[in-house]
Amino acid sequence: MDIKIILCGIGGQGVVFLNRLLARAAMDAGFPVMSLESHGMSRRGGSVVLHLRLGSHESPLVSQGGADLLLALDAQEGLRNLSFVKSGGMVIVNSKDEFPAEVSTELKRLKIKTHSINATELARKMGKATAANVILAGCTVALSNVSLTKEALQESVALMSPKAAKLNNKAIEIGYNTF
Amino acid sequence: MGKSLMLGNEAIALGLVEQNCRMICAYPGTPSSEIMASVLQQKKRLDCDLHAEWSVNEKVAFEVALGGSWSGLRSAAIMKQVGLNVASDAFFSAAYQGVKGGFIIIPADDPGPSSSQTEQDSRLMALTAKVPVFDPSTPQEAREFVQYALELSERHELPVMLRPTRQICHAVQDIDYHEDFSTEMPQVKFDKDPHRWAATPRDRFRLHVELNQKLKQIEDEFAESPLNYVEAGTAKIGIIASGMVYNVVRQVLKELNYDAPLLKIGTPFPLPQKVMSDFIADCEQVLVFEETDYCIELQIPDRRNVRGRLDGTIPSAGELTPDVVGKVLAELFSKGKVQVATDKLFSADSGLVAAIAKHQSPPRPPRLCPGCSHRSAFYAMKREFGKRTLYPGDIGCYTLGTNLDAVDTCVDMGSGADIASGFYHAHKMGRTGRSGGKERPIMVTIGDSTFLHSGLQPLMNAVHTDARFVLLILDNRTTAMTGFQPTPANPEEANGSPGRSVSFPDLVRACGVEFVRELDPYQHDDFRNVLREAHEHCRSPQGRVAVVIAERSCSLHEPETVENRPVQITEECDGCRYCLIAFECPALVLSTDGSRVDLNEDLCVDCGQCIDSCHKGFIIPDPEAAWT
Ligand code: SF4
Ligand code: SF4
Repeated sequence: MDIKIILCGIGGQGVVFLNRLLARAAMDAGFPVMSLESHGMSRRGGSVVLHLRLGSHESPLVSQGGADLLLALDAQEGLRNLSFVKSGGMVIVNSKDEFPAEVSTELKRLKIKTHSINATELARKMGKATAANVILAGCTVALSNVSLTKEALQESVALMSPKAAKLNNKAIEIGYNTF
Repeated sequence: MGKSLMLGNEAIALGLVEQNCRMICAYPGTPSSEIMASVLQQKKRLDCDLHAEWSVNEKVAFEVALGGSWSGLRSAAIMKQVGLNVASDAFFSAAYQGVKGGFIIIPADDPGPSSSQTEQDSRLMALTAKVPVFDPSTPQEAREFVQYALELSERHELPVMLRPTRQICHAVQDIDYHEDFSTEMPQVKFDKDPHRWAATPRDRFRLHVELNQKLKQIEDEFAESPLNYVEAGTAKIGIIASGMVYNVVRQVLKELNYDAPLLKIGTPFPLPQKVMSDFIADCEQVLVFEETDYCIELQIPDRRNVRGRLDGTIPSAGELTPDVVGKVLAELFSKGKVQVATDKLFSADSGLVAAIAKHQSPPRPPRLCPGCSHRSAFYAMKREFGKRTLYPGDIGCYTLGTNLDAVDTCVDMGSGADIASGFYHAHKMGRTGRSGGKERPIMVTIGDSTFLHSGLQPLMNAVHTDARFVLLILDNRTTAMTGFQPTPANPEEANGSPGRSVSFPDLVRACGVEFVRELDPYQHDDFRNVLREAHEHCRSPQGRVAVVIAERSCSLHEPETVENRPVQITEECDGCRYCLIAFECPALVLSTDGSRVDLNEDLCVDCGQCIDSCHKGFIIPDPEAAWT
């Protein structure tokens, strides 16, 4: 696999955790991983954009029109970063709404598949509103062509935060089964 | 042995620990801060006997580490790139004097910049100071370069720089990990040699000559070094690259399907001239990609066939992203009539971009956290002193006081009180002169860590020159912006062991300040009153600079210290937005139809501070909750 992913959201939503989870699962499955995170100012509620490359140690930086996959934890931030996605790519966005019609038309023309999921609401129902990020990871293995299984993801998340393993497992299930 | 996902900064820390570095000193600053954090974790986990400290500033970090090296220990000083400016006095001198135990200075550069006041290139600082530089391209390389750097430093008894950019510091890579490295304590001994360690100007000329000789030898070594190598290609245009851009260039060449010879430089100073001239001679034209300035390009004596940031072929500022590199190369290749499929690469679809632009909201700027005590202090200050007052600020989370129009200036660490002195003396003259300006109050804000870093001398200077302003020390008991490192005012050291803490009131009084008050900025009315008193004192005939210390823990770091004071926004809220603009808490949001302001329950920390921000009294204590 050699997959370029852009992850975005707002500081505090756990974008970095989502990045680490996917990276960790890929590493545990024996793939090389390179990513560029953002730390510092951005955690104070600002826009956050991370670059992740699974399956290669080459440059983690994704160009405009170069991403296979965009994972957006916030709809506005997703919209802002849509231009990263290449034609034929995929978008998974945490949102209760679809993108504006005009944007959707363009996405269709470019054969970019878009999946919206109200992960925050699902996470809240599950008892932890901040687990939206892990739900999105579940969606990612279900929908995209990352060579990772749901089980691998669950094993990795348990290694990353043993205490929250049960909750995170459930979050992955929910994300995985939504589509 | 196993694999671990590591930030570049963690990989550097691993390199330091496994290379038996025994004295590691740092001042926090993005993007360097996680290096020390990770050193501290490893120290704890492996129970190593190493001295690790968050120093009071970068100059102190550099000098303490230098003392370690002069005692025979491998030592490191870590900071962000602008921190090297603070340490530069010692840095330049140490290059002449040299070192004993391997000494590595790690300034993290910030192309972009993403959280710095400049994009300066530390490699150029090293060039000026005559210190060799290693420039890694991946976290794994950064870890390996630590070893090369320390060995080189010991061989030539010279400080050596490892220069990671943010793109390396915050890159994440899977790294092979083992723990079977030597942990033997080297002999600790300082050998007296006054002509070197206490060199006078007479000795310095000789030391300078010696330094130049060392650099010549090192250049020869670098010419043979495996860290500089050529990847052959058939094209006539050759490329030289270093740092993260090297990976980007490789990637772009691959996507353009262009087989250019590529010279990777791991040691940009002193530049191995032989390697360079051989490579350049073989190409019709050569492009140099480097971040952030032109360290390599500048050192090439014959640049007739060389293009880069210096001659403007590559943008002379900013990060070299794949988009930028792709455009530069595509344009160049098309001039040479090389067919490359550029139309679809490195740019977004224009139709999509246009559609996005129509619906996009403005980018989300960083903001002070919900419950942040700085916001309360700023708000009280603004309410009491209004728009005419001058508000010099400083560097930290509280620079975000710009969002509340409560920070008018920000230059560098500790500058606020100096700018205030300048403002005061200038406006005083303006008042007595013909222009007849009116007196304007001056309120300076500075955080606890920044005040200790470099705020003390400006205060002494202000007292001595009788500048009159109010200095507000925003003491939230941590270095919040960079990840909650302790300051010397905290009761514990970097590794968590108890340490003596310095007292702000004592420090300030010792500088000759008479008006000193400490209080909680959450007490809105009291706080305003004290600010007013402080101002009256400082402008009275017998007055001086007045200091108010706003004491309250960072709400993100110590959420348990925030009292439970939930609020409600009543039905009467008419959406006037005053609270949104004047108080700017991220948990206060305009409703979708704009008719009122709502609470975002996920973000709100129930601090109750916004109550004062609605004049009309529509933000009230939640009647169902008992306020503490
Ligand atoms: S981290 Fe602390 S000091 Fe910084 S904005 Fe948040 S609450 Fe304020
Ligand atoms: S109580 Fe008010 S000021 Fe405090 S976090 Fe909630 S909305 Fe913000």
